[in-house]
Amino acid sequence: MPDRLEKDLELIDEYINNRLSTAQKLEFYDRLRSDNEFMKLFKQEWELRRLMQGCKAGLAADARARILKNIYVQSRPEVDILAELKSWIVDWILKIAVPSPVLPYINKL
Amino acid sequence: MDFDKVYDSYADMVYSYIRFRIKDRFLAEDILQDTFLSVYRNQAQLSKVRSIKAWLLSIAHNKMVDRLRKTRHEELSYSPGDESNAAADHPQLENNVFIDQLLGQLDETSRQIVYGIYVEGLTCRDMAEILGIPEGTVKSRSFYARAKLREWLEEDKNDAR
Repeated sequence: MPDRLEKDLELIDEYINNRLSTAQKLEFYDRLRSDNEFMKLFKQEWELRRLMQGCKAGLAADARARILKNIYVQSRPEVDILAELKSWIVDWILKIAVPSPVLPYINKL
Repeated sequence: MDFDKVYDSYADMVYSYIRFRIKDRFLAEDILQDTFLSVYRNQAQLSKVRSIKAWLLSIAHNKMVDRLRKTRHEELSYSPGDESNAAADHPQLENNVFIDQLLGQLDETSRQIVYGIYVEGLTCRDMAEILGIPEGTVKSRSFYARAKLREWLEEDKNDAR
């Protein structure tokens, strides 16, 4: 009996989630008409679903926008400030120490 | 599907799944952000997954479990929402309290399973993927939990008569 009940529950889930073909739906309606136990099971399952919808929580519009913004900020590639500073200092020292006609050749190396 | 579209389509669904277990709104929003940050960094997988819904919820579930493990003291046992005081005046809230009481009698995993099946229309296969447990376990747990819920629903109807 539990096997049959398990199959009936799967069938009801498939029906409610619109995963049955037209022919399967017609069979389903026939079953509802002819089998009182199945009809009772369907009504109970439907009622439980209706009640469970009350558990749905909504996300506020401002929170939704803020979270999306945070995701983009957090996923930006991190800038290595130390490396940038080093490179700037090296450039600056080179500019002072090396005569300007030579600098482009050094930078190319 | 690009990231913005995924976020637009599924943020509410993921948030609701998290809030079902975590009553603290700010913690839930934090976990939602972590979830979608992970989705953003793994966008390449979006085209390969069997079910986007199940994939997103499995990430959310893992983030939620990690967070609860880290802040064990913050874990909330399932309890009726804040609405309970006003329930008498509002039929919808009364329903919420009633379903909260029913769900409160189930274990955590079974609650997540019935939420997934009843609210999100997920299959046992999806729930197995989300919770990281065998499909057979989900089936047996859902079978037992749903039987209990139907039984309690009937008892309540009989009491009301």
